[in-house]
This record gives sequence, C-alpha cells and structure tokens, in this order.
Amino acid sequence: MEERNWSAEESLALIRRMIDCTRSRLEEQVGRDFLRMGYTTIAVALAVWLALHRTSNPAWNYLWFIIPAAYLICGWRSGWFRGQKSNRSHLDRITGYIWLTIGAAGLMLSIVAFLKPIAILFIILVLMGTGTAITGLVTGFRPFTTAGLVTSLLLAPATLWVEGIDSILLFAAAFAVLMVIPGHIANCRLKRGAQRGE
Amino acid sequence: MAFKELNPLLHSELRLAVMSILVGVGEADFVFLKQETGATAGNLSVQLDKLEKAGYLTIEKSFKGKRPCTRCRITEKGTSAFEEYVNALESYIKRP
Repeated sequence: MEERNWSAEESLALIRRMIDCTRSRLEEQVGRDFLRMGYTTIAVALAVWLALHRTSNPAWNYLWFIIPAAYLICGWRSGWFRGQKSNRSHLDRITGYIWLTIGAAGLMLSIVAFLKPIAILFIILVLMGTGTAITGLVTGFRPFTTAGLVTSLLLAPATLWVEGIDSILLFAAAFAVLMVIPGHIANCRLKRGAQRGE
Repeated sequence: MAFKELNPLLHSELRLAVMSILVGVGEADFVFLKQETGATAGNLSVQLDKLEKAGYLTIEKSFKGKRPCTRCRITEKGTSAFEEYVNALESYIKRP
C-alpha cells in the first residue's frame, strides 16, 4: 500500500473495502466451519446407522459423541477456547457466542438422551437449524437463513414420522441441507469475489 | 455547505486502512493488519507509531511462546476521530 494522499471518494472506497474484507473473512470462517461440522456429522450419522443396521447393538450410539468433540476442536482452532480476542469483528464474536451456547445445549441434550428416551434427532435439528438461521440473519448471508429455517421447520419434524434407525439417514440428509450446501455456497461466493478482485 | 477539514493523519491510505480495520474489529494483531493492508512491516510499523502518538490506538507488545506479538486496539479518541473524518468526507462528496 503506497503512502500517498487520496481524494474523498477514494477514501470512502478504501474504508468500504477494508470493512468488506473483515466481513468476507467472517463468511469464510463460518463457511469453513459449517463444512467441517456438516461433513463430520454426516459421516458419524452414516457410521452409526451402518453399525446399528448390521449389529443392532445400541452401544454404537456412543459414536454420536464424536460430534461434540469435533465442535470443541473446531472452536479451539478458531481460538474460542484460547481467549483469542484479536482480529474478531463484533459479528464474529456474536456468531461465536451463538454456537458456543448451541453447542453446550446440544451436548447436554445428547447426554440426557442416553438417560431418558427423547426425540433427540428432532431436537438437535431444531437447535442446529435455529442456530444456522440466526447466523444467517446476523451475517446477512441468506443461504444460512434459508437452510436453517427449512431444517428446523420441515426436516426436523419429518424425523418424527420416520420409524426406527432410518430416521438417522434423514438426519444425515438434513445436515447436508443445513451445513454442507450453505458452506459450499459461501466458499463459491468468496472464490468468485476473490477472482473479481474484491 | 461548509467543507470540514480532513484530518491529515487519517487522510492517508495506509493509516486510513488501519483505522478502518480497527473500527471493525476493535483489536487486531500486527500480522493481521499487514495481511489485510498489504503493507510492508517497516512502513506499517511507522504508521502505527504515528497513530499511537496521536492517541488513536494503543499498542501492546507481548510474546506468544517465543514469538513476539504486537496487538493494536483502537481508542475512543481514535473512534471519534474516524467518525469525524467520515463526516468530513461526506461533506466533500455531497457538495453541489
């Protein structure tokens, strides 16, 4: 960046560009996290379904705890549990707090599901769908909002009507809608923006 | 419409870029600012010193393990100066 004086219009354009950069960075981070979490959840769900289908041994349900562990690792890598305060916009902090809260609630409900029979797949999808929708509203990224609403209002209730372990397959498909598709859309949009030199 | 004077400290590409980033994130480390602005380390250091002397930001130097870490945080004075600067820019752009 050269050290020179600018016109008023150039100054405002520069301010806009710098602010857009921090917003893009947030979208990039959220998109990446969504892809990691989405694919992890789908892989675990399919593994549990396959194991239950083949062995009918309910102990395979303990594999579900790989998901909260993955969330914790994701949070650690993003600096949330290391007290990293720098380089975070206000929006970044808000989305972080949203997912910390949802992650904690999801973990608590998962533990409860082992002690008391509850419609855990339905509850988790409503929780995650709500979190994704709120993330979309806060960041202004519409695919997150749409995916979140579709998941919590349509796909989550659908799991209540699917009998037995096949509801796990619907759960996996719901996470593809909820996290994987919007994550890829976010990545594509950023790549297109980078190619245009934004 | 009367034109407000543009703050010469902010009416400069690199210093304005730094302040724009800090207004957004509040606090940023040196490496982040260097990446986002594309400035050289030496030039960025000089400009950060100027902004710190003006009271627009604070600089905290520490270590992450054995690696030095420099963190910059915008001050209230810096935020006010930035807001005044943006208002002054608008008076130039809205002129007939």
